[in-house]
Amino acid sequence: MRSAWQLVLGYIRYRPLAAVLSVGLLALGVALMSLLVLLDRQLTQQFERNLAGVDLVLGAKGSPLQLVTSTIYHADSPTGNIGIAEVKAFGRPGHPLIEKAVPLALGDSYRGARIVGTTAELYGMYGAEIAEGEFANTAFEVSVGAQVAERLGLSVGDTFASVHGLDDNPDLAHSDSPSFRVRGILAPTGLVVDNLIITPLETVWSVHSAHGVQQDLAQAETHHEHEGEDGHDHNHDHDHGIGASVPDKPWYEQTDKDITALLAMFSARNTATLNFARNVNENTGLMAATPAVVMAQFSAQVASAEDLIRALAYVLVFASLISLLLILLNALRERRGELKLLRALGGSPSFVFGMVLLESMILAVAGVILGLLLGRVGFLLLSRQLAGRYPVGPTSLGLHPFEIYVVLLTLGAALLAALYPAWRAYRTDVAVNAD
Amino acid sequence: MLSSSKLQFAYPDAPAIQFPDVEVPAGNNLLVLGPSGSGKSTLLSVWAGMLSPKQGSVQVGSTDVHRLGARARDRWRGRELGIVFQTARLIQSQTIAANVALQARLSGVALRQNEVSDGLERLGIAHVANRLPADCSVGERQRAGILRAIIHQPNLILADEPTSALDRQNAARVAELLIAEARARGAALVVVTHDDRIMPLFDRSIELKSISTAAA
Repeated sequence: MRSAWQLVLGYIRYRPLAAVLSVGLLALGVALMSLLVLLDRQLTQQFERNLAGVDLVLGAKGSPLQLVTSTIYHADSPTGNIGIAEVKAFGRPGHPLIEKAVPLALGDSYRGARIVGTTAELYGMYGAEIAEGEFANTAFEVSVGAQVAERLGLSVGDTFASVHGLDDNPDLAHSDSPSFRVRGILAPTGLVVDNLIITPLETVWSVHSAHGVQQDLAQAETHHEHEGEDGHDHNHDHDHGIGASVPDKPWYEQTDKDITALLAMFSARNTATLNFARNVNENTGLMAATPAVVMAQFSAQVASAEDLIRALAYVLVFASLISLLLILLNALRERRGELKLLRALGGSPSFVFGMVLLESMILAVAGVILGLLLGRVGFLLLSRQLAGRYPVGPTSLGLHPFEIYVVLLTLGAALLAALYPAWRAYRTDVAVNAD
Repeated sequence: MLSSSKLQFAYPDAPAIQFPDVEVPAGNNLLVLGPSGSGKSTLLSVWAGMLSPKQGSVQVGSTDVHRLGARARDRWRGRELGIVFQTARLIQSQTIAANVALQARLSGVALRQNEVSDGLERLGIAHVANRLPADCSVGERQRAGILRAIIHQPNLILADEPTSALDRQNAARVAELLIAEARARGAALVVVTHDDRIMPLFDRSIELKSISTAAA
């Protein structure tokens, strides 16, 4: 066995180009497959983790997917705005089906980081803890998510001015508004909250009050993102500022104000909660979207693209196995004389048969290991690239069951591909004078 | 040590070749001369158990070679036989030292520590131990081939045209080396060749005049 190892490793070293081609092709196919699996796992985990127990999102009518992605994953523009009067019944304590409701007021950002007006319950929803300073609890104070703080270099006590929408456009700055002051930096959670700047609802209402108090916050975001200059005068007069206290009235009593959405968590799951969204959609001017259902529908839609990439990966793996077969056959032709020599020196037919299989397996294992590593390196690079824009949480880099299936399938196929050349090697005549 | 009698061999669809009886005691040597096509390499392959005779027997020591099964014959060849080829026939991807140890390793014969390096030293090719065959001269490769054939202490050494590609001086050197190494190990040595320049160096010689056709 040691002789076979030594001989095969010698062959591979002697003709490295063929080995590199074979291993490289195989690694590419496996890497693509691995990357897909890891991305899929990351997306699924992040979809689930960021739901944070939210059973229902109430917002303005529009696309349910847009409503969910804009309010749960903060990756899209909101569908519009809703009056608190419309959601008061769902937001106040004591609702028979809703245990907890968290309002969101969106519309502004700072250097690409979304500013979310909300209540303190949002922190609990994501299990966010303070790493430095304190939670913001006064108008124009903010708690900054860990990734935002790192990316923008924000520290406790820093001040900044917000802009309309998500574009980092100085022309859209609320230059007349009091500056936001960083009161606390949140500890990393691996959730979407890491990418947010969180402030009490009153901050957002104050910033937008000069627009006639109830300017459509969400539409402002959408509008400014897509159209930029619109002739609005953004130099408003504001009579609120840092330290302006949060009103005693709970948010749901401020029925003259707007919010973007209400995130609701049910107290139980039963027929009533099952029909809740449909009832809201049919009987009110609001749209109710069930995130789990919406995301499942979304996943089903993207699955076809995923299937296509997966098919491409299969084709790559298959092509690499064909190339492996051709390389082995070519090697067999080149080494015919050497195989005869091995037989003449006492090597049995099963020894040369095993040598060909061993060579195939060494190349296949190298390709698979390299592919799994490349897939992970690609995933980490992609995660780093996406970290600022999307919630990228910690994902296990361990082998996924599908990867184990691919690895076994590939090794099995490599063994099969080697059988024919190995059989031909087995049939090599033993001779003294043949070259 | 080598004894063959009444040997006949036939290639498919060809008349049988009849070979003379041969006996080479341990430590002795024999030169088998003959022109191309006289069946020298075929005879050597039959002695080595690589080709099966139509008739007759080959006895090496106490082993009747052609009564062994295929696997046992492979094992016997690896352990008891040393073969020197016309061209050294080394594995191109292995170093000279690895090539020298190859037959012993294939056959599971344990070599003494430093046996390969000592052998390389003795044959004057220690300096190429870690080189690939392509980086060595023809003479260095030929000496490596001889060392490979003797390092596992075989009972019989068969050499197929080991000197025909060499000039007179080098041919004599190689033949002397083979004879000396075989004698030192007490092995029987048979060289088949058309090169009669080395005939005086051998104990005995026979000549295969031309292919003899045996009656079917």
